[in-house]
Amino acid sequence: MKKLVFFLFAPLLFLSCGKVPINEKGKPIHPFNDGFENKSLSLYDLLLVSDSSINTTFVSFPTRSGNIALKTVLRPSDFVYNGYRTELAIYNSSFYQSEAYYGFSFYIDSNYQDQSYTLLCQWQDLPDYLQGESWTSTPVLHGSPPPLLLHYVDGKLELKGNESTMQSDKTFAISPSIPIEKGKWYDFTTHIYWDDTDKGYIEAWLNKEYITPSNGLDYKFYKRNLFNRSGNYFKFGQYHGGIKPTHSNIVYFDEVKIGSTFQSVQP
Amino acid sequence: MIKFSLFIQLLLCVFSICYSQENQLGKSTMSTDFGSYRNRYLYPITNLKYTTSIKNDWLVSVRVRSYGTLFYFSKTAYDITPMIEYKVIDRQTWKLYTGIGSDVRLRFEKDIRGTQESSVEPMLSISPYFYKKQWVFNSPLWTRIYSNGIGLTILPEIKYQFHPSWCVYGRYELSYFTVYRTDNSQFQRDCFIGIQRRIK
Repeated sequence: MKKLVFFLFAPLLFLSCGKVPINEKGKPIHPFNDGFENKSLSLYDLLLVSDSSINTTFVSFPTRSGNIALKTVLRPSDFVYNGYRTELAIYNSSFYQSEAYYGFSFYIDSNYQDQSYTLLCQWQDLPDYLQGESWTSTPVLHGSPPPLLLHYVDGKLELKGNESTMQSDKTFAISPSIPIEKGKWYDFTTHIYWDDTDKGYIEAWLNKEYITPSNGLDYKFYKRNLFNRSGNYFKFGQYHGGIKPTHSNIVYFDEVKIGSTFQSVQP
Repeated sequence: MIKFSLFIQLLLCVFSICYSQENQLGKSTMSTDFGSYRNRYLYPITNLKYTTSIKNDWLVSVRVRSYGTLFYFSKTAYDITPMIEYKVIDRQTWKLYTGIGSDVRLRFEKDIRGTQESSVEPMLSISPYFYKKQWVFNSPLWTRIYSNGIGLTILPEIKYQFHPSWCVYGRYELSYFTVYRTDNSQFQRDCFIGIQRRIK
């Protein structure tokens, strides 16, 4: 009996042996390019919208490049999952110890009116799936503040980071507040090296001018930008968190790109 | 094949518990603990462990770890760790056990952003136990063998017996995973507090 158990046990154990449960380093980012010319959102991995026929539509004016742009609408009733949002998500866009360039153009509608913040884009962290984690723990002890975000409030744009994995109010400024004119296109570009130590960095441009401060050598802002090694994923659109928008607001997007060079993500 | 293998592993777990109950001459304990502050954030994990001694020198145990819950039942992930240990040194104040077992990782979460999958790994263990009055300190070292690397985990645990049948304990787990022929490695930290009851 003991021999039978041993001879059954040993080969089965060998055959079912898995890989070490840690994330690979330096996986290549999947390139992405959408000018919305084909009037489809099929390239996106997740649409966080309450009604895509209202929240995400295609327009021929204004456009940054080509003939079509994306119009995002966020209404006071657009509560999706745990926040007021109209967002599109791209997975496989930031891996542990890899680097990538991200670019998109945005246009704050002339009638936009709201004093509370909206996130125009964010890089959201992920559970460490290999270590058994998931989104749906009970109780939820791990908050979900994004490690990096682009924040628009009161007519100003600011690039921010999050210190805490638990609380969303522990943010710090990466760029100064930049006044933004409504009714005008802006090109936002950023270059990020993703790491769970302070070797991680971000440098960013608005209309090809640096918005990250100089550190004496270059314009890279060094700080941990992964909460774990699962990587982050990219979302853009309008996100208000738990604060109900006071008005229906419109922001246009065009030329959303992810690539390996600065030039590859320009409009 | 993996599913079949997992099924057989689980059968062996059940078999080992039943076998040990029929033959046990010593004590059995049931312990449960909760955590964890893992790395830099809180994440709920529940452990349930049954240990029994057979023929004085042998310990058989099964630990079931549920991820993402403080209530034992998880829809997302479990680790099931059956183990058999042999007492190689027995002194008045300390004992040393060595053992073998397997680590059954069950991952039910389906998300294309992760590469998690279920698997079973063989495991070796060496566990010193130190005793002083109502205090017990033990620090097992587990070695898990993967198809492309190795994982070492040290689990120092301090236990205080406040009643003939009851103990409270705290445990820290530090794991180091490394992939062969690469410089890819990672530390993983977890902390737990728990309670143990002697049941026989």
